[in-house]
Order: sequence, then structure tokens, then C-alpha cells
Amino acid sequence: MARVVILGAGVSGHTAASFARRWLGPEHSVTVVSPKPTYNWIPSNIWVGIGLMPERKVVFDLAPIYAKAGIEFHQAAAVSIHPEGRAEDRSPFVTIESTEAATKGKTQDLRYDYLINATGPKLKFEATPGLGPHGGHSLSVCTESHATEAAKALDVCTERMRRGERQRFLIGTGHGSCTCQGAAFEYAVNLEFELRKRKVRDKAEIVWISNEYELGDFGMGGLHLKRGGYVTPSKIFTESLFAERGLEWITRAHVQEVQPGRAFYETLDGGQHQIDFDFAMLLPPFSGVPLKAFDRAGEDISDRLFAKNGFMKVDADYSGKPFEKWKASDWPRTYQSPAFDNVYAVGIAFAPPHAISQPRTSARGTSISPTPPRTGQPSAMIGKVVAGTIVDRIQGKSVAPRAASMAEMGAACVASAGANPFTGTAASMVVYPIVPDFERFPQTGRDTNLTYGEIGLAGHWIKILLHHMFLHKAKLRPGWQLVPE
Amino acid sequence: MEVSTQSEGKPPARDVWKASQSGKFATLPTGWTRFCRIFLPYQIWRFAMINLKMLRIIWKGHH
Ligand SMILES: Cc1cc2nc3c(=O)[nH]c(=O)nc-3n(C[C@H](O)[C@H](O)[C@H](O)COP(=O)(O)OP(=O)(O)OC[C@H]3O[C@@H](n4cnc5c(N)ncnc54)[C@H](O)[C@@H]3O)c2cc1C
Repeated sequence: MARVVILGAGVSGHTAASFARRWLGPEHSVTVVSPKPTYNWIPSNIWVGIGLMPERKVVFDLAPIYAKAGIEFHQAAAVSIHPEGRAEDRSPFVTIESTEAATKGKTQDLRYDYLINATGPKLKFEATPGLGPHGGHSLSVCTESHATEAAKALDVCTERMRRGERQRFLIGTGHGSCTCQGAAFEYAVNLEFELRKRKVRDKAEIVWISNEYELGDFGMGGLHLKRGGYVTPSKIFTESLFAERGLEWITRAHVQEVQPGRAFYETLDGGQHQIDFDFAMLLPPFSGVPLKAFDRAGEDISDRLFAKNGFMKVDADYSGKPFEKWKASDWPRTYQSPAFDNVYAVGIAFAPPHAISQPRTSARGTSISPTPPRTGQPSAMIGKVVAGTIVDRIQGKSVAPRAASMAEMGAACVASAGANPFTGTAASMVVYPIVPDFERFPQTGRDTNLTYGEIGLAGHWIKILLHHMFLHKAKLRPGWQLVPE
Repeated sequence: MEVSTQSEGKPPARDVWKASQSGKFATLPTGWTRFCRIFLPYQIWRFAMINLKMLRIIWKGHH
């Protein structure tokens, strides 16, 4: 009997657990550890944060789904990994701490034969003083409860605008090293659409602030699309959408501090600025969830498993070569830890080997450039591939590990730009490969025959379809395995 | 920061002059482009085409 333990029940961990359970016989166990009792379909948090969807539509309880599927579930946070076990018992284990009301704080050791770290990001609001909804002065849509709070604040602003007051909305990234600009972008354009619907748009000023060098970078160094006889950068399309919707923008910015109603920021040229706001939705930077690792003697070996930013090292090239020298082949393929071959990291939890967007430092020495994104589709695909590799190993198949390099896979992404079945729009994007490969595609790093984007109502319908399809899949309803990642 | 004037309920008209004043030259969609974005028959067709494009990329990732 083999024990597969998965830390995290987000997009990547839940996918890995579901497929591992489906492919493995009942003599093997699949266990999921997650500090929250629920699954959150994060992409739809945008609509919760605009007030278009209640929180309950984007979350569901994991325990009954896992009970039905035969997956063991612990509502707990992983604290430490012990890949060598103890001196007296060499079985590897992970220490978890309960987050359930009745047993809160109680620790337990879970033995594993194969471990998947799918703990996603730590939302590092503390990197910027005053950032975030937990005691700070800005809002977020990273979790369902953050999004609900944002929707309530939006209602308050709407009331003020109805009374004739002007309101400034500051939307974007709350630190120079943020990723996930796509989510903030979606929030900004959805907000604009919603304010029009609420008939208060004329009282609102929406300002985008981000660490991107140019609009449309999205942490992927932007992308190029074939249009009208030109290969055009995403900057042009993003600027066009913002200009059309009357959104102002500030790029190359590192938010240094958020005070009530005021944000202080530095720009790449070394300039110091401040901007007043009535409503700020600023995403935090991400780091790895802080897990420790210990050897059998109890010595801390965290640096063998984790990079400095807390993400787990896998089969990537972490030699730290200059940005100009990196190659697509530096990106991981199997997501196996080089330190312990039965440990894997999937989704946001794995350490990317380097930035995709050109790293830049301000005149004052502050790093202001996006870190690489790992969106839902690659996260799920990687989760499935790693589950497959582990199942192959458990079943004793002498086959090569399954591979899913972000430099060899494409991603489809639909960014909502207004939710209405007849007048809504969304930007539908397809990018191939996610990580540019300048050896295969010297001009733009991507295949311009496959990389593609357009704005329209059809995109909004696709976004709705994805919401329902992915929740159907995540709830393991009949035929779930046929829904593509 | 300057604010563009908008009429209630309609998409804001950001004028090109103001854009150039703040150093932000942007391509704006024509009326035809904006019409096509929400023109039902055309969008039904685009729905099918975008789905095919997405499926192609997913298929490529699996093989
Ligand atoms: C607002 C927003 C909108 C987005 N929209 C899109 C979109 O439209 N399309 C798209 O492709 N991507 C989108 N993304 C990105 C997408 O959500 C992520 O790529 C995806 O969630 C990453 O999956 P993951 O499994 O790595 O992490 P997550 O989904 O964050 O899951 C991490 C899991 O680990 C658990 N965990 C945390 N700490 C511990 C611990 N100590 N022990 C055990 N478990 C732990 C968490 O509770 C969670 O269950 C969006 C992101 C945001 C924030």
C-alpha cells in the first residue's frame, strides 16, 4: 500500500488528488491537507468583488466531496516536512496543525510515500506597510472573503457617488514584485463596466497602478498577436481598452506604503509620488507558504527543499544565470524535488527559475518588475501530470516521468471585461508557449500562429461556461474527468 | 491627475487630445469594432472559433 499526501486543495492540489484517487486502486491512500474547509474557484472572485455573485457561488465544502471520492481529508495547515523520517523510524512524514474549531492547534504527523506540495502562494500583504484588508487600508480579491469585503466597500462608494460625490478607485498591484496582474486587470475593467451599469460612472475616476514596465505585460513579458498585417504587442491592446474605458494608468510603480485614503509609490525613474483614493484594490506580492524541512536528526534542511522566496525547488535550473542567458529549457518538466525524489511541487508552490518579464531596478535600487505568473490552467495540468507520474511509480511502470513544461504548453485565459449576457465582453487570450522560447520562436518567443486574443461578448459567454464547467469538475460530478484542465 | 468627462451610462469618451497631453497615445476601436464585439450572430460564430482555438492549445499541451 502506498500513501500519497497532497498539501493544498486549490486548483493544482485538488486536481492532483482527484486524478491520483481515480487512477489508484483502493489499497492505496490519497490524503489532502488544507487549512480551509472549502474549495474556492478563485477566478470568479472577481465577480464577487464587484457584487455580481455571492461568495457561496464560488466555494463549496471539501469534506463531503472527498468522503464520497475516498480521499482522506485533514483540515489543517502543513507546518514541516520530514523527508528522512526520524532516527528511530525512517518513514517520511509531514507535520500538520489542525485548523478545525474543535482541535485547533493540535499537531499530527502524517506519513507519506509520495508528497505533493500544492500550497499555492502566501499572500504577503506585510511586504508593503498598510497594504491589505487585514488591518491595512486597501482591499483584495485573492480570497472569497476579501472579495466580499471589496463588494461592500464598492456599495459604500456607489452610495456616495449617487449623492454627487466623486470617488477615485485605485486598482492594481501593491508592491514592486507582484504577479497576477491579469486578476487586477479584470477587476479594473469589470469595475468600470459595473459603475456604468450603476449609472455613476461619471462620478468615478479609475486609476490603474502596476509594477509592469508597460501595460499588458502580465508578468509574461507581454505577448504578441497577429492583427491587421502586424505582429502587435499586448501593450497596444491593453492601452486601447483602458483608453476606450477612460481608465488612467500608472506603470513601473512600486507601492511603498498605503495610508488611509493615500498610497505612496516609487517609479522606476526614482520618482517619489503619492495618490489619494477612496477605494483601493491592490494585490499583494506572493511568496511560498512558509514550510520548514528537517532531516532525521532534526536539523533544519529547509534551504535544500526551498528557494529563498519560500517556493519549493524542483527540476529547474536555479543557477541564477543573467536574464539574457536564460532558456526555455531552464523551466521544470517533472516538478520533482532534486533533494528527495518522492517529493513534488505543483502550481504556484514550485519555484520558477527566473523572471519572464525583464527584471528592472529603480534609480533608488528598488526592484520593480513582475514575477512570473502561474495561472489556473498550467497549475491544473501540472497537478494532473505529477499525479500521473506518482501513479506510474506506485504501479511499478518503468516509464519516463510525465512532463509538463510551461515552456512547452500553452494557456487559454479569459479575462472578463464586463458581465452581461448581451452587452458584456471579455478578452479571450491563447498563448503558446506560456514561457517564451526564443530558440524556437526567435522573433517574439511565442508561436504567433497559435498566440491569439480578441475582445467580445463571446469571451464573456466562455467565462460563464468555464465557471460552471470548472465547478462541476471540482465537485467531481459525473464526467468531471472529461472536462479539460 | 486629470479626469475625462463621461456621460452617464455610456462608455466614457476619452479624447485623444487629452491622451496625448499625458503622453499616452492609444489606439481606439472604431464604432464598427465596438459594434462587432456585441453583435450576436458574429459573437456566436466567435464563440465557436475561440473554443476551437482553446481546445487546440489544450490538446497541444497534452501531447
Ligand atoms: C483574483 C484572482 C483571479 C484569478 N483569475 C484567474 C483566471 O481567470 N484564470 C486563471 O487561469 N488563473 C487565475 N488566477 C490564478 C489562479 O487562481 C492560480 O493560478 C491558481 O489558484 C493556482 O493554483 P494553486 O493550486 O497553485 O494555488 P491555490 O489555488 O491558491 O491553492 C493553494 C491551496 O493550498 C492551501 N494551503 C495554504 N497553506 C497551506 C498549508 N500550510 N498546508 C496545506 N495547505 C495549504 C490553500 O488553502 C489552498 O487550498 C487568479 C488568481 C486570483 C488571485
